[in-house]
Amino acid sequence: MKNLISEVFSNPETINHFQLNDWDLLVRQARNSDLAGKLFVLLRDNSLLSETPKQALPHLTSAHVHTQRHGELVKYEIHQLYNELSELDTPIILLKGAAYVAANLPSAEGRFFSDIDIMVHKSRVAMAEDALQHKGWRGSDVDDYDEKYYRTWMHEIPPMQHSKRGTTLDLHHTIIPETARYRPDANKLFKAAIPVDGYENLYTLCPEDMVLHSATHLFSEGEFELSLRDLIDIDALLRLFPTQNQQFWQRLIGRARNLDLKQPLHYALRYCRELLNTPIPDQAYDEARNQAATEGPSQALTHFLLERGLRPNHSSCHSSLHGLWLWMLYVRSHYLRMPFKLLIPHLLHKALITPYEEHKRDREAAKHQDIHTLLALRNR
Amino acid sequence: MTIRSSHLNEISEKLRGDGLCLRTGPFSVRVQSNIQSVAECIHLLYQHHPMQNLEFCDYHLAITQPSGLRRWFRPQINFEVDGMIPFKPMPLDQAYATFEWGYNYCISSYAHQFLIIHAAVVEKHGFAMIMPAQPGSGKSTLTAALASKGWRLLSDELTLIPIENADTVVPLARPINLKNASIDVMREYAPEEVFGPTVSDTAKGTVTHMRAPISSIDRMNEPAQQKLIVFPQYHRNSPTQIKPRSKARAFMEIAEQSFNFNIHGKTGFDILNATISNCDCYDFRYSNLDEAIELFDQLIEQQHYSKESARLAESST
Amino acid sequence: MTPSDDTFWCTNPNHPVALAEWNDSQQHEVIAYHLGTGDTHLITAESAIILEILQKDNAGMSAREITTRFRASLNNPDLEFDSHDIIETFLKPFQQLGFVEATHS
Repeated sequence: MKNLISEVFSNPETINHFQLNDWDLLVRQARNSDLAGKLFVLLRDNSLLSETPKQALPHLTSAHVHTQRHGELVKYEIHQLYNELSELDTPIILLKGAAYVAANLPSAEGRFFSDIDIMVHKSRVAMAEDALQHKGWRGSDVDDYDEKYYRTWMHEIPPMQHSKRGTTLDLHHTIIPETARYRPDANKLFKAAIPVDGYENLYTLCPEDMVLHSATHLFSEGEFELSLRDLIDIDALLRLFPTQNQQFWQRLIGRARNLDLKQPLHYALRYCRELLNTPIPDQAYDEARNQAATEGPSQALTHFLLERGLRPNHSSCHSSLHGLWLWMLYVRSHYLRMPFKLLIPHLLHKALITPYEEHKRDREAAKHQDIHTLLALRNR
Repeated sequence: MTIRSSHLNEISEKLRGDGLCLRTGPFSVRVQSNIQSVAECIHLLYQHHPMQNLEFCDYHLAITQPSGLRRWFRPQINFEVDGMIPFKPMPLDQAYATFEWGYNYCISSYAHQFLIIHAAVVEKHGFAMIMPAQPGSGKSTLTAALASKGWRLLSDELTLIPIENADTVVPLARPINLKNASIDVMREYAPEEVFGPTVSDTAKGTVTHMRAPISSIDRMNEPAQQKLIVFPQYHRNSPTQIKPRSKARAFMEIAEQSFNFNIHGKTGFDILNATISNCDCYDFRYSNLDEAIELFDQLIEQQHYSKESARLAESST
Repeated sequence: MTPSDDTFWCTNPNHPVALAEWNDSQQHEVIAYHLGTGDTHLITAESAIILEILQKDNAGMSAREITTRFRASLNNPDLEFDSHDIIETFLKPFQQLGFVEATHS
């Protein structure tokens, strides 16, 4: 099983030993994992584009061009959204991709962000939803069951879609559903947030919180197809922030305790080190590990599943049971997000009404429709 | 080495195994399939296309019939790109057509080293004539007819403008997709050409594919210079008419027909601007293929003559 | 927000509008491609002049200032229009398309 993505991101010079058929596999693994753009950036930043064979280079360049333009459009989207919400006069925190783009972080370059995620104080959510609806944002196509899932059970707003621009927006009041196992205090996040240049009342999370949010999100996630990409985002943050602040590692570990996100931090550091060779000082690594749970059968199972879930999204990295491991990670994510009494009915509903595999395929198929519609849609 | 050098059985075996890699212009595609009709169509329609080794292929396509009960009741096929299934299963008899459409999907989704326009493009005297795809254009019939009458086929669907060499168009030289009425029209107009099997009840109606002329395939690495953009409209019994179209309106239509214009942002805008500036743009109405071709021949001769005169004038100074 | 004399109109230098034109037809139409939205539009020559005026100076200007500069660029000094006409005919539609933003000074 050749995980060429991990090999190359851990040590870019590895490509010097590649044969052409290794590049063939690397392009497949990268494209399917939404990492082709990031791979271009990695090779460029390590002055290795000249060592990239002419057969492979156009694939990486194409992906990079696409993601660059996507970044421009996200910037415009943030600008529009800011104008739409400025009347609210309440702090808004950009999360995830939108935050990377707004703060011009290295994580922003080379990848797509499907939604814009923002966070406001819980008391302002209704107002914000109202203001957004007045500016052309509508609830997106979720069925009644999913609407109930979001609002009643998860205490979240379902994603909204802009009627003209088509962008999807997720409005949050915390970084993980209230019902979940981890309960970081959102007020603490607001207190530490960092303003975005040029936009009053617009913020991103502070560096430690950004890492912890990404880690919590990734390791409570249900869909693992693009998880390696999300891990690479964290790797980029962990490479950047220590250069900006010598205290970063201590602050990160302390903050994880403070927000009760010790477990996701440990996972993030563990898998970044194992899969991407992220430079993490031993002391920081050990401290993060010691304050989290690492022993016991459930930990062993979690490690087993995560190790498989974090592989490139290509058959070359999957055993025949891969579907089973993904399903177990899916169940695990719901276990982490929902109280137990809701979990079984929810899973049953999903299991009977939309069996897991078909649900995923239908979701993909509905997105892409048939080839002719897809080719027609490409023009937009 | 071309497909022709292998017997159908060998082609079929390769497709069922590690795959077969075909070269079409700037792209190579690895194909795998356990479906006999796919082997037969590739053997027929890509007969003169070069094969290459499997070390690096731009796209990996698989058209497979899954095992299970579905094999016997309304059999379906799955189409995979690089191991992913991007759309719904298709009926078994559309397997080969799915390969062609799927290949178009790959190019238009990923090949951003080109500005890609949904348009046919043919060439004569080194000059490219681009025909954007609009409903009712009959562009595929026109393209097939032109290809059968000495014009070089670059593509019936995808006009590729290299970002790095944006005055040119690059060929694919792949089979031409014909549908419905145009199938009978072309079988009658050019009976010497090679046609694949006809498939009914597709989303586009009845379709078939016409093999690209050998000369077009032999020159698949030769770009053409942008010269003409023609917006055809087929109207029954219409006289052959051509009139200039304003470049601004040509731009709007081409941008609309472009798969990745917006992905290239300002660069895409500049390239389209230059393409429109390079080309004479026309609206064209016709009903008679011979007259249409005669007119295009004249148009391109004019261009050729102007270029030759300019060249001679330059070399004599 | 109702435009007034205090309103400043400006384009966004991070998301400009690219223009292209050819002198090949009587209807002098111009292509306007907005890099922010990715939309392409066909606009009049006069609209293009207004956009060029705004994009030359991204700090923004009042409708009055735009009207003065617009008048100076036209060959016909006798045309009657005022800043209100400019707002209704050009600036408000541009605002809808996302080309320009309006702020109070």
